[in-house]
Amino acid sequence: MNGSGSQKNIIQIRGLEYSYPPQDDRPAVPALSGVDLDVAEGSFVAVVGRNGCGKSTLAKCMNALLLPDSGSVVCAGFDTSCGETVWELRRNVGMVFQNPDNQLVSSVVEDDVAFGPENLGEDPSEIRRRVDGALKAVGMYELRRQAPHLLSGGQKQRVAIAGVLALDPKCVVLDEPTAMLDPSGRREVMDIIETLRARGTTVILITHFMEEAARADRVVVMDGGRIAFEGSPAEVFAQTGRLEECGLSVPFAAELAQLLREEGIDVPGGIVNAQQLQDHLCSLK
Amino acid sequence: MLVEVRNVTYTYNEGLPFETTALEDVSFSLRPGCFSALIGHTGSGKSTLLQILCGLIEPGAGSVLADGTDLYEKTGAALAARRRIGMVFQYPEHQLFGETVLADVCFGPKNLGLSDDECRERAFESLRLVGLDPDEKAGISPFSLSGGERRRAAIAGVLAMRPELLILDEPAAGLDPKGCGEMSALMRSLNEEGTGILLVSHDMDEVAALAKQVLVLNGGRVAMEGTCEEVFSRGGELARMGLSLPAPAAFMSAMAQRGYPTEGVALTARQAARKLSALFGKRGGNGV
Repeated sequence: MNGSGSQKNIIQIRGLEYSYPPQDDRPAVPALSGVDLDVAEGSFVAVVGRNGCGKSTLAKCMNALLLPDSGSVVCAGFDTSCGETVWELRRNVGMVFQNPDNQLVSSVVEDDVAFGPENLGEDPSEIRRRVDGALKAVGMYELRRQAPHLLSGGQKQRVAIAGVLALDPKCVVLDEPTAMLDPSGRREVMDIIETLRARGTTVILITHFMEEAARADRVVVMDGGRIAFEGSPAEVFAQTGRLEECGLSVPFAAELAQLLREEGIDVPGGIVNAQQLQDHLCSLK
Repeated sequence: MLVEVRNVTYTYNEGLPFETTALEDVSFSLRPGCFSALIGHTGSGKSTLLQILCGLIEPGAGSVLADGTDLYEKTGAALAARRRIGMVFQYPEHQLFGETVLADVCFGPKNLGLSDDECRERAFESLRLVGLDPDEKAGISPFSLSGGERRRAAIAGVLAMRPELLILDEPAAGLDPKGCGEMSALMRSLNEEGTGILLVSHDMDEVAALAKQVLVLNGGRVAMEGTCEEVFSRGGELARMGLSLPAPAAFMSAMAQRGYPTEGVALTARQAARKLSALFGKRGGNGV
């Protein structure tokens, strides 16, 4: 496979199985047991599931940090198990992790963002262009000369995202990028995700926050190393019972909508955010 | 145990160009068996206050008294008083180090000079409290536990010191919704058995569901103090401090702005539903 093939699906996963290898006295731990997933180019997909359901393992399989035991993972046209194209693959599929402090390598913000393009051996003028573009996209251009340790958690995470954007990826995979942030940091990161979506970058967001998942085009629910069910946020969050079986909850607006229905108020299905519910209620009277 | 914080001030880098005042004249008290929450925007001084409360950094001015004993006196009584306050830091599972869960949980009691039998007894009791079966888990490595179990094992290590006041900094961060529910249940049951709890959280829904008293820190000062109802009815002021409301209260406040005000504050989805039903339901007028 090569990168030139046109693909409607930027990620194609077939029969993916992965177990963490045995360690000392510990046996192998199966993490993924038969995952099939297609992600349309330019879409925003949220992956949710309880701790240990395999969602982070799935993310790591998307840019060849982990290789399938069986099955296949093809991202941006590159098969992850093909060693020759792994760098090309990783340039196209960027990863952002949970802890902002573990992802910054330099003592100046713009140097950190330049790390990727420098390693690709790009021209200095091209590096400058990419770094400036990436920092502007995440709203950190003004702070480009700052030392990362003086930034807030949300700002650090924005710099980490800029470092990925400087490689001009087709797809960005974010593994619980907001878990360690305060509410305003979380808002900053979610705003950047909207920006990415608007630019046409495919976004895979792994999260425990149902409010964040409700903003995606599609929600994938994982449990026990498999995809339990999936659909639009409206479809997924209508299934309170199945979500609870998977150790999850519904966004507040969906919960309130259900309670209002029980009170005999006419509330249509498919409400997943507060704005929709407020609009509907205000239209009643 | 009654903990009184009196006129505490703390300044980082005092006398240096980067001098910053983290806390300024902070006073409040935590009653025996309390369930209090401490909220504040990042940089409001929460972490500094926590470190002062558990005896890690000495306040520049003011004092912290536990049942009248100053925590920062250089006496045996002060040391004993500090031991009655337990601290669960953020991501406490990062601090696990024992070869077995039992060894890890016993570390605290061992340092109190207790016998092996007593340590073991306390460890088993603490593991049961956090919902880990000691017969099954005590002998295995803490690193073979799942993420949520690891966190509970780390908390067991703090409980083995039998603290009378337990301070928890974002104990549910990074847990899945079910894990968050279990953490809430654990805090509630510890509190019901008499342990005072001070919860630090950014999650206003967690605070509203658990705390009886809320303390709001802003710019190093106590900005508000009261019940959840009192504090969360002041949404405008909280927003100016960079804080949000619990989801039900935020929803009702947005409805009020759109011309549908309601009396009082809603802290749960059910309370919000009841208020909305009065407005939009059959009894409320021309609903369906």
